[in-house]
Amino acid sequence: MKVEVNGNEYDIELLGNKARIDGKEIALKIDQDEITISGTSKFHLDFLQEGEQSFLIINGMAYNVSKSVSAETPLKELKAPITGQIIDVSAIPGTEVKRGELVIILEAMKMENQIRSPIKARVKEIRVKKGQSVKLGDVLLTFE
Amino acid sequence: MSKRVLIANRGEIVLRVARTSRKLGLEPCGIYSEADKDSLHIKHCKEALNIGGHLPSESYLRMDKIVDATKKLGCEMIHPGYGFLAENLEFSLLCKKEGLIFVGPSPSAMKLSGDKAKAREVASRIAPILKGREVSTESDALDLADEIGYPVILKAVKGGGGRGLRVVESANDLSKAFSSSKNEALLSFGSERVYIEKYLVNPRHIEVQILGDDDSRVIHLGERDCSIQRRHQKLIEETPSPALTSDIRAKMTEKAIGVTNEMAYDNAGTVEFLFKGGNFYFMEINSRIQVEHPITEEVTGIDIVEQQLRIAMSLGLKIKQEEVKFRGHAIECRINAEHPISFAPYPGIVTKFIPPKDDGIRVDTALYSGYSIPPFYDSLVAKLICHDEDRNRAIEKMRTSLLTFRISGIPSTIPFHLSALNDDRFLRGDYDTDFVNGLKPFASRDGEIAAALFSIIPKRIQILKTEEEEEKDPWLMSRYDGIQLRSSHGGYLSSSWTR
Repeated sequence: MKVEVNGNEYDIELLGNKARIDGKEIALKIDQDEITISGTSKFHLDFLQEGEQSFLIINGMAYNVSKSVSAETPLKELKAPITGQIIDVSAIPGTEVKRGELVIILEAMKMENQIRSPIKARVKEIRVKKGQSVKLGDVLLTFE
Repeated sequence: MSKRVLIANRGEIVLRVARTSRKLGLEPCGIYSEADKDSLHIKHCKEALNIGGHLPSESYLRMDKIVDATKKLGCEMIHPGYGFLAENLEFSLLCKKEGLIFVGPSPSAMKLSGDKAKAREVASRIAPILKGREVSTESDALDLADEIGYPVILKAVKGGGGRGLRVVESANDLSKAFSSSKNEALLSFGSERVYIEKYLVNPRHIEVQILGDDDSRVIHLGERDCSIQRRHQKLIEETPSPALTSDIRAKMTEKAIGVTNEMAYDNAGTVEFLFKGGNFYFMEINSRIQVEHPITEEVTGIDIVEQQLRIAMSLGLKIKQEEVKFRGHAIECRINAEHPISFAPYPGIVTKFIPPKDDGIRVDTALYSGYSIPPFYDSLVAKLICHDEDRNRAIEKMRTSLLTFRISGIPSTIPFHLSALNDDRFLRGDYDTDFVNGLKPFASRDGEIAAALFSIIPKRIQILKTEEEEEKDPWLMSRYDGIQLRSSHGGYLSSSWTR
């Protein structure tokens, strides 16, 4: 994915605990607010404000960060973002959901995770039931 | 029983005054508003009273409540700190009437320094001033502006703290601005008197710290360069000023002492000058302890609050001018709870507070981890002061301190200061009041770290592009509890604890 930081674009690929940035690979270790890069340099996330354009303060330095707008292929399926149990399904096959509309609630690590539709689309099929356990990456529902 | 002093303020300045009070064997007492029940300043007082209210007008500006608290706590003196009632003549007169010692200048000196038009007039006998005077009618204002030439600045006679100023470029603008300025002055400062002065475009703002006693002894503690401001509010101060030659410095401090004598001013004060093209002009005299007083303390080794208290107790000024020695260079960065780019105030909970610590580093603050910054007061939350042998070392120390200063949960002006301390104009010492407008953000470094971190936050709990199973990350869900995270497809996922 391409990420823009203070006007500069970076090409980022995440591979487990490693990240490839513009072709250069680094090891990332995250513990609370501390980020260790390749085992030596330490950084601290002081502040994070998410939005259309996110704002981060790392080691006292400010970064305006946003994802570069790129032509993404239309989304066809919604996958489980985390391993857990389905608590509730509010989406109905054949109906349209708005972007940001709550579709599924998934419990994981004592947390209730509201899964919202990333796009405005008509729901085609729901692949999970209330009470069912799902694994990370399982398809929860499909869009038309 | 030792004498008690009431510190009629909130936040860091209470801690500052309390420290010196104890050093002098005085017992510091305090007040706090309903909104300040968790403020650290209460803990630094021997005793403190809740005077209720949230807004300043319901609490720290209520003279009746403060005098009442002073009596209840058995205090003989009131130190007003800065802001609130610090330069309020009515309050100092009330203290006098109630038999309390007001730690500040005499009422006559306060009356003069609080009347900016009169202060200019008196100062003009001693020091250069910009052309201008008080104006009463619009035609009077237009005539004067014609005579001295545009641009001119319209100021409230009773104004201060950078408020009530208006720059006027033409006769047409002046006609429009005149009556609204008068109304604004009346509303904000209780007096509709205004004066006009020739407007100096992008000057430097340099002030001289002075100390005087009621026996007309006056000394100066050097100057402070306070040119780095936004909306007429100071952000960075340093001493000595990199703009002054020793010749001009000698002249400026001499004039500052002259003005102080002419005004029969006592206690600690600041004589403010505008400086441009090698010339300086008297602007005003401030009759309070300044926010930026610590840099002067660091280079002179003189405790200014101690001198304030001693002078107020009629113990006199014991320091002679020739005993004042200036050592090295000091810089102060004001850390505000504000967005570092838009400067929008940002009250909230400080989740982590770890100030830097080393020789020559001083942090004046009332913050602590877990403190919730109330939305009713000034956004200044910490003053970071670095002192070293010379300017370059002081700058280097300040940069390191800023990078290692951890304030989490709220944004702060730390990124602004890092940008400023890496700006060529600042490094050369060649800056003026327009500095902030030309400032470029300093964050070219480590942009890839921000990019990687930004990517990894949503990624860990979001739809994955690959089918491969990844380890789950317990830290992420708990840390970002309640925060909406953006999915890789632009959707949202928000988490909250299950009951």
